Amino acid sequence: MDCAIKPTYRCNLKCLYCCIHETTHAGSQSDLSMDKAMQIVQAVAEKSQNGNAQIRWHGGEPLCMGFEYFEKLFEFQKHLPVRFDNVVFTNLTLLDDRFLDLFQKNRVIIFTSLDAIESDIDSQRGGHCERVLERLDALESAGYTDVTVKTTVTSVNVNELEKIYRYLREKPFEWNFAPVLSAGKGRDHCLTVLPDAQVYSDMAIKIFNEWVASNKPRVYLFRKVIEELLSSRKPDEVERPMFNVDAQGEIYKCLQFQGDSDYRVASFRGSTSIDDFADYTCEWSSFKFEPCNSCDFTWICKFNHCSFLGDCMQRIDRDFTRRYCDIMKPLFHRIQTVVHNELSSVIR
Amino acid sequence: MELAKEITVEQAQGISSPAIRSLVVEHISQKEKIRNGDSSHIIYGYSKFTHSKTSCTCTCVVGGLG
Repeated sequence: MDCAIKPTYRCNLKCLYCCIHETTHAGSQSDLSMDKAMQIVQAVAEKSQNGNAQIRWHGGEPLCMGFEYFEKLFEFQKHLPVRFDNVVFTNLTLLDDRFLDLFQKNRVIIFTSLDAIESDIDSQRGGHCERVLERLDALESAGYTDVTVKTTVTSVNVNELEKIYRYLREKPFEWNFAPVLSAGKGRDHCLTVLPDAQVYSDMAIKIFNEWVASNKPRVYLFRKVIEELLSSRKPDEVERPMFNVDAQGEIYKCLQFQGDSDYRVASFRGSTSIDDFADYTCEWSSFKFEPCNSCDFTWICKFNHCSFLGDCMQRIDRDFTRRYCDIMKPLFHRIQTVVHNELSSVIR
Repeated sequence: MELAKEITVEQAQGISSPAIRSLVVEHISQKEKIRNGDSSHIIYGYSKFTHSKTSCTCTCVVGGLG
């Protein structure tokens, strides 16, 4: 069982493309109480059938909840008959050494964002990249490797992507990058800052060509595409179930639109079994792998396959998926060509 | 990719790209384990070899939300 929990919508940063919609979330400023968080964690444990569960702490900035909040929750998990994988999505700016030590002791997987190496390029996120870089150095010094750094690519930073790649190539972390998605408060903004398809694909392919030769750093996007190319997954295979709870204990069927009343499906009650939420797991989790109509890839961009996301995106901007497809396709084709050539060369 | 079905570990060692070679060898290894009935390295279809069982906020490759 996977569960995504947003303990708070508060955040100390104001990124322009953030998925949290200020209007939608107005009046939703109270945080998830410790009691309710424990009830959710316990319910997830009860639902987990194979002794493993994953909780993704999202937000807002989850570290706004404070050190003691997570210290108590991690301690609480140890008394449950399930092994928890905790994933924290944080901007790192509040990750002091106490948090770092707590996360390391509890084997927390960290997801963070880095959109620039220089603060004047980091305007989309308020120019806090120096603090993020300093914290990444601290994580590296502590021997922390379970870190994925995500770069959201816009027209503002697309030319900086190579610098970020070169910086992370020397780090023990995983990197992922992708064009900005249109959602939340940044919907309109995102549409204006989507990178140019040609500029993006030229940059992404240049980085891929270097990565193929060096294998540094771990790059989620490249690895995932190659794994999918190699995979013999059947079209009807599904991913693990997941449900999403926000700071008010409301359940949404899509993490991406968590907090948006249009996507709210139920409320968590401590006395309610999670079995009752079976119908409310994220639709991505029951996503079916179906061939794409516009590309050779089976699921990579998902816009043509995830009906839920596809509907959302089309509702926002019917032109968006086509533009996104144009941006991504050249890279996918380049990866496909290189993998095919490499495999062909050794089985002849 | 149909080619991947035919390749052996020995052949994979001849792949010039270290990145692709590593992923192909890992892929073959996992398929072999599954074939032998060992699913201990699999969590809901995700590999323990790669720590990122979670990809990103929106659990897909191209998700752009931070």
